Amino acid sequence: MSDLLKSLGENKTLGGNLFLVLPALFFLLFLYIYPLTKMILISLLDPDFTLRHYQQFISSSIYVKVFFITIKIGFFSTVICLVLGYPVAFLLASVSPKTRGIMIVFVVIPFWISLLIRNYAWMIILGRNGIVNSLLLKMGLISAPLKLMYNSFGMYVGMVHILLPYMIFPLFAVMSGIDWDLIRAARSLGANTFQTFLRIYLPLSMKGVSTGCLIVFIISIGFFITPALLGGLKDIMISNLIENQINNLLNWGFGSALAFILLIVAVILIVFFKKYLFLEELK
Amino acid sequence: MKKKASKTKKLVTRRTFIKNAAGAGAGLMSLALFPHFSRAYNETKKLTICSWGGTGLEVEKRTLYEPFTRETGIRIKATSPPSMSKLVAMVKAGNVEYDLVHIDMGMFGTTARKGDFFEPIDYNMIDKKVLKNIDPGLRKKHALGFMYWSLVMGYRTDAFAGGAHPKNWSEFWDLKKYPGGRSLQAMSPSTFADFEAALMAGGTPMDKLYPIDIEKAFKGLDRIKKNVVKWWDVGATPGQLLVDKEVIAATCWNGRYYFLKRKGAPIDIEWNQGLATNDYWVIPKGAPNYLNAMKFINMSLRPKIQGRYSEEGGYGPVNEHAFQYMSEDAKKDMPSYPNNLEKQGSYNMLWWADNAGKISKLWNEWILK
Repeated sequence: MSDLLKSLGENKTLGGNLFLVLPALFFLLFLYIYPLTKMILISLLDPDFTLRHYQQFISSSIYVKVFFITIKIGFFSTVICLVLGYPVAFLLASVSPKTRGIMIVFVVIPFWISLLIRNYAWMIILGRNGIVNSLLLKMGLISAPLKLMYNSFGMYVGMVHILLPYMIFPLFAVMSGIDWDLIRAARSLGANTFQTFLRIYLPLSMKGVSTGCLIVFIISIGFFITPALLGGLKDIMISNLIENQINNLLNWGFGSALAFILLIVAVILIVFFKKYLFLEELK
Repeated sequence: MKKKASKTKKLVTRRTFIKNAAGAGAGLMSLALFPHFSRAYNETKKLTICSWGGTGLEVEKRTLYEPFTRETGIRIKATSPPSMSKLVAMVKAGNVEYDLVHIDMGMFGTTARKGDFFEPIDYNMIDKKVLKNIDPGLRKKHALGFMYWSLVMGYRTDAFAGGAHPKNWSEFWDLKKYPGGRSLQAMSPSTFADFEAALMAGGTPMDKLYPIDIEKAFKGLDRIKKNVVKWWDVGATPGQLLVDKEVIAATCWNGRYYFLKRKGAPIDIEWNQGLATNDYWVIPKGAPNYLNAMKFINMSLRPKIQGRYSEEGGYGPVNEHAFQYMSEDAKKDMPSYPNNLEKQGSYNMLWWADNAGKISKLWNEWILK
């Protein structure tokens, strides 16, 4: 056993240690790659090779439109999460370990509550006769209840609430590794707070920004329950259409084609994202 | 007889591999118990029922599952929700988990058009005395209707002075006389758009709804679009919207309103111009416990069982003798109560099954217009 461990330690090449990733590889192969391949095949065979389902996608502007809406919702959710999450992560990385422990509990708590319950909780808060409207009415700030949900606003509130921890943790992980001596060095060389942040802290935290944004964006474009519950009529996601085709209409071919296109779009966006928006700046 | 014999042969061949001596013994025993039933099944003392879950499942457990287990010793495993894509995948893979599934005619229609996914109902296993009280229209070859439900208008009783609530869809659409928020169905995986209500609001008579004039229906929805606070796609939403005073009137499946009304919420149902339909039991092709499923269906149609199920769940009995086992209040809230049934039209879910694909697309175009 100790010989084995020793040889593992000595052998630094990927090839020699390949067997370590085999369990994970098998897992992915059977539970991810295989079904994914099958799904692509379903979209192309009916029962002979056909591009019918992809033609159906192109022939109607509606599906392309819904794709744009999906990406738009994903983009804004990501931006809002970044704006709200960055300061929280910064605070997490700079407070004492004891305070940090308490803060992390608050960030994590939403993870323990079911998504549906969180969505319904927002209904109580944002409703016509909900807490926010009652309070504003009582204070005389508004004369009629505001429409805070069943529109895009309500949807973003619900989605950001769910997605925020996925932004905060990658940011925090990177920020807690930032060497504060560099900040002190910048300050001692005469940079003001803003300059220090912009030229030292922000670039150093960029890896966290890019990871957080990627995770949040990928999760958000697959959402459909929150937009359906809290969103308005026009907040439809491509996942809704896919579910409809697969579960309700039993059009597995077209549903699989939509899912595959979503996958391709996501991959293209991610590659673009990594290449042009963040990693370049790190060089 | 010849047809039946050939079917038996096929099934035996299919099951030869999974059979063992004990299984054959059990098969023989069930043959002895049901001499009219010639299939050799490898039955267990189990039954997996796929139903809708939530509060409805609690009702089913109390009023159907528990009495069945007490009577037969067969244990029931409950799963939810009934997904036709799952069922199709199970049958195609030859690995069926469900023995019995609770579905509506829309789901039945969509699935039946994709192939042969259901076992025929063995009407010899249904008590003759019970069967004669069931509407022949509900006794399909591959499905048996066991309850009534309706798409109805629900309203807040305290939102209208002196009981002057909207009493038909024209009044529901009348935003001047009845100001306030509304909720209607979205076209979604679990709901169909409220085209019928839109047409009736425009004066189409209840018996001339199908085939639906889609263009006209969208025009009808255009007239109310602004006042629809939420287009619902989950059955729990309309009741929630009424309770929270987000809306004053909404469409929904009657059982949802029944439940809230019984809990004391200021909600009531307008039966006029409602659309009644049925839910059915179906047995997936190759279900492992076919006989148990048939025994269960048989029991679920008995008047007393139907009465309790309807009393608690709000979905109407198909056996008219069930009403004698129900309270006066509950009876009047049943979609199949004669006074209510005569006010309603019939919900043609098969039309929806045929047109859902086309309408889903038109619907998305309409909402993004």
